[in-house]
Amino acid sequence: MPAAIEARDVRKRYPPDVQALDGIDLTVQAGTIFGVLGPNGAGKSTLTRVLCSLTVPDSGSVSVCGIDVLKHPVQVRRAIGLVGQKQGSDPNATGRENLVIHGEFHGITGRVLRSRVDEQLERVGLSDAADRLVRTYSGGMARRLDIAMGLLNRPQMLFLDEPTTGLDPEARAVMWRDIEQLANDQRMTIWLTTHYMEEADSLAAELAIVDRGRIVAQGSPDQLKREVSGDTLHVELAEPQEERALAALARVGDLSDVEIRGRALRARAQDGGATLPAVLAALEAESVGVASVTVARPSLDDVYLRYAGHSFEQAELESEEVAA
Amino acid sequence: MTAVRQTWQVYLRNLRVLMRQPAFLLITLIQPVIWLLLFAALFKAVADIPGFHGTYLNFFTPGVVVMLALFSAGWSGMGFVEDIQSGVMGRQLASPVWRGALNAGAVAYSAFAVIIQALLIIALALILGADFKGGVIGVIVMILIGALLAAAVSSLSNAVGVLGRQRETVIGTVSFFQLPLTFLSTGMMQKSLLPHWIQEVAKFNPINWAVVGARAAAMQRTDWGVVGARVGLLVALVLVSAFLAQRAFARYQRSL
Repeated sequence: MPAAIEARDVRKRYPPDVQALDGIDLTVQAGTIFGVLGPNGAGKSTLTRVLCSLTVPDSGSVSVCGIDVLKHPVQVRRAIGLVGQKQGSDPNATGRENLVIHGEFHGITGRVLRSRVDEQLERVGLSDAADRLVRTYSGGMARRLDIAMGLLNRPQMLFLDEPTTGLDPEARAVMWRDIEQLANDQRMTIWLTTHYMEEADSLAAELAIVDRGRIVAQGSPDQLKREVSGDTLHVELAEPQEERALAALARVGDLSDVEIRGRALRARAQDGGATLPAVLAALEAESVGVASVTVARPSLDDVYLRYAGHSFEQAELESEEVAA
Repeated sequence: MTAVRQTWQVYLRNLRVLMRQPAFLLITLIQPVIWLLLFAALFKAVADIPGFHGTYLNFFTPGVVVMLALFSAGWSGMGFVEDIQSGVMGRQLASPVWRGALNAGAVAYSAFAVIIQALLIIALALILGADFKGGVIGVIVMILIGALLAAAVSSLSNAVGVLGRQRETVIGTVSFFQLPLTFLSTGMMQKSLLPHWIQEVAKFNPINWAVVGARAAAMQRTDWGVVGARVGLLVALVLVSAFLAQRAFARYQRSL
């Protein structure tokens, strides 16, 4: 069985100086939920667009479902379904009309199309709302319509580009259940990009962490967390005293990846419990007040920090600054 | 076959929006109606200028039909701006749809809308007392000339829409061309009464091709030689515009 996705040294640059993809190498096995985790601006959407034949990379090779995306983009489009980051349906048409036109675009017509449209409406629970304008749908309903459109051509592979961004927690939970069901019932390969740690953690069987146009780590969430040995210390300072706190911690052994922003200090230690007293003593000696302390087992956040060299939260903040 | 089906679907999508809000068609008609009523009254005395033939209403009606084609189809590209911003465009491009259908369907709709609008304007002109010497056939040819111009303008507007991706770009471009192209034609003033340089420029102005063709078809005993030449030019323009739109769509996709 060929891999669902093979990408070799894929690069794409947006003029003047945004290197969106900086040498992506990737193999995705068929039949799993493959999560792609990264902060905003890491290159997830660009990579998704390249795989879906929506855009052409500057260099590199890409195949999806065994088809060369650059040589046979139309075949790839037949084999996949895409649910983009933005709502992909026409708000001034009904749910059914959106599905019909999408089916026609895939060359599905007549009775086959009508029965598939009904089947998908039923599947996503929109049968009653089928003949209402999408404009009147809730965010969750519009998203479910997007999924129905993505599945209409019975794709071998479904691409979900940040499917839960902008949904309220309830709609997000429904979406998670739907995605899991798809993977279990239909044995479909699902590509899922997200910037929610917990989403990647709970849904993805296999996970790639993307940072600045590169894949910095790949494996199952558990595997990745195991590779990050040790614990994380989270210390909340009474006042933001970054320099003195850093000076204090420099004297403590068994600490790595020390990061401080405002009052939030975080560091990694092989044995968190045993290192904690030394940390507290050092801070005390520099008369840095401590408000609270927690010791945590590794999370994907730590995995990200370890491979990307900076925290996820910080990357998100920076990307917002760039956007603003 | 698939190409025709897909074009038809895009056309239907546009048509459904119109059916749900027919008022929109009337809104784009307000301007031509005002032009017809106001300018026909305002310039009535133009007919008294030595060298002007016939009534101003008869002279001006083909001009209004052509102007409405230009004005109505000019906004076609707005639909693509909305589709790009809403994500519909991305979804369409990720499907194996024949790319030409996206433009062709919108162009077909623009031409259709202009045919309906032209019929309403012609009805109004009849009420006001216009005399269509070209008969029913001549009037139909005039409407088709309007539809051809609309098709060309629609393709160009769609190209501007996908390249600019902003409403402002479409609005700016359309506003920039509308009035100058109208005034550099014989739409409002007989050729012999225009300054010489405008007469020369008008030869290269598609709006003037349409005005001359429409007038020769509907307002006199149809002069098929004049009509045929202008229709030929307009058909060529429709094809060139469609080609440019196709290039614009390809360029848009590359920029993603």
